[in-house]
Amino acid sequence: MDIVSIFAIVILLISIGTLMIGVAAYIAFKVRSARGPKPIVHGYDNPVDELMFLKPYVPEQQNILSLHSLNSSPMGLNKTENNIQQT
Amino acid sequence: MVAIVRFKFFWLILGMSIILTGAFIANRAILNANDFSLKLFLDNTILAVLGGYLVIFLFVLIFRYVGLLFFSLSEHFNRILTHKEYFVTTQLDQSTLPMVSIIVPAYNEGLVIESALVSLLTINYKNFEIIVVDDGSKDDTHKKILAIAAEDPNQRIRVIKKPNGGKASALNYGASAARGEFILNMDGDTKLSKDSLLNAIKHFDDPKVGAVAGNIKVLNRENTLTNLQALEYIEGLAMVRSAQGFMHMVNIVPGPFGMFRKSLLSQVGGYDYDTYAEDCDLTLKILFSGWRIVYEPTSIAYVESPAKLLDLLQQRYRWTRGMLQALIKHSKHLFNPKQSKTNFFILWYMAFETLIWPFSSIFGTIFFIYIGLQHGLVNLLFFWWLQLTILDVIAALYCILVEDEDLRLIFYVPLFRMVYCTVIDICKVFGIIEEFLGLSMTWGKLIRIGKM
Repeated sequence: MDIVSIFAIVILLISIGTLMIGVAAYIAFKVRSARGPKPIVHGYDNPVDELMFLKPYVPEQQNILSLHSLNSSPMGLNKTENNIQQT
Repeated sequence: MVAIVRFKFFWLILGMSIILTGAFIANRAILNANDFSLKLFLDNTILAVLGGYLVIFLFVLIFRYVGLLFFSLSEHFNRILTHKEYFVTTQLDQSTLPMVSIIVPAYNEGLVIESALVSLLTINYKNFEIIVVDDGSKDDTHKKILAIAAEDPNQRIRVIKKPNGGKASALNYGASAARGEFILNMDGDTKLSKDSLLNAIKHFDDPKVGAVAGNIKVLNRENTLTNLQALEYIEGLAMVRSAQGFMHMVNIVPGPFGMFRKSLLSQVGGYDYDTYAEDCDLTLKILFSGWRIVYEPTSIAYVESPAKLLDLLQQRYRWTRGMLQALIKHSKHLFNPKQSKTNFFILWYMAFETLIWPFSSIFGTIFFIYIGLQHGLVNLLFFWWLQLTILDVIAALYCILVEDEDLRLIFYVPLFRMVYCTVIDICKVFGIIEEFLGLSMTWGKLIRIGKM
């Protein structure tokens, strides 16, 4: 048996083992996620930030030059400053 | 709509051509023989078509690696040639540099937040403020932030406490409260290199540049898994971003180091909540708004990577589904090359890395295992693995030399290709399937070890 065949059999066995480990690890990860404490639902599922700011600014002229000239446009801070508890 | 139809037509013709060619090549002998059987014909045809697909995938991979190496090397030489300009920039009087607001979202980061903030206070940049957004932490994160803030004689740390709303909302809160002209978004478990801000801010001299992506490295190289991730970060992320930077096609401004013009964040509406990869989604919004994103390899952010396999899978599962969500959200650009060829290419590259690569890689492994066991062609599996490993060794060696990394990482390449990538790809494949099935998911906060 040549060296390539020996390597090939070793890699075959490792590949089969890795596939099994990969699937088992994924199942373990899903089981752990299911058993773990339920996180607070937020963001993607249920945004809590109804007071959100940073409303998209839509320029009148949709071209890059006009977009670049907006560098000095002010941020909409007034809506939120009162809602932020700063220390 | 016409473009979509054209593209579907193209793929249909390509698929049919592959199937017909495969069937013809595989069955030339059988068709001429007297003992023709339908089962043998189908078996040969299917194997030939699948094998043909893998050969095409292999050529795409080689093209990808060669292309990335070439452009990454070009970027490297470009940096060497412009080093003089960089030196002049760093010698500038710092009082003339604009104010930067560093925003640190923190949710239960009690174990790492202290060291992260202490490292921020020592960076080589004078005009900055730190806004720590405590996103409803339940541990002692808030207490520790206040303690560090009180110790800073220059009072550069501001603390915002808000109800838990996720990372995107924390970053948006921070951006709204920011006083700086530029905003640096990072993670609560991240440490920055001393000159990271100074090296990043110079890119904003160009008015077309809207964001700067930093270089992410693994800090806690404590076991085999974290060393494998260190290798992955330099080969899979740093090299790719370096090449993308040369082509002005950076497709992700990473969460641990992303610097933006504040006006740009306002323009695109900050981070959205409809994906789990808020950094990827924001980057695509910036690109589609016509701004340019650059990569700065010397702006280094050191992060604590998952040290346990299940934690790693949790992270990659979220990344995969998040990127897929971002890709689907912006999918109209996938079929509209006329609007912007650059953005069209970027999205297709993302589709390849997120969707096609994991599926093809796992499929290739299963295919060659089947061929080896069923038809005795075990050597094919060896050559399949060998060609992937050779590509990885070349890329890793180049990255280690360019990034001035630990040369010992090269010894992890065989394990990286044979085991690590397969396990991660399995997780990605399941994540993709679950995303298309519409199964629910949660953020999945990683448990910090506090090795920073």
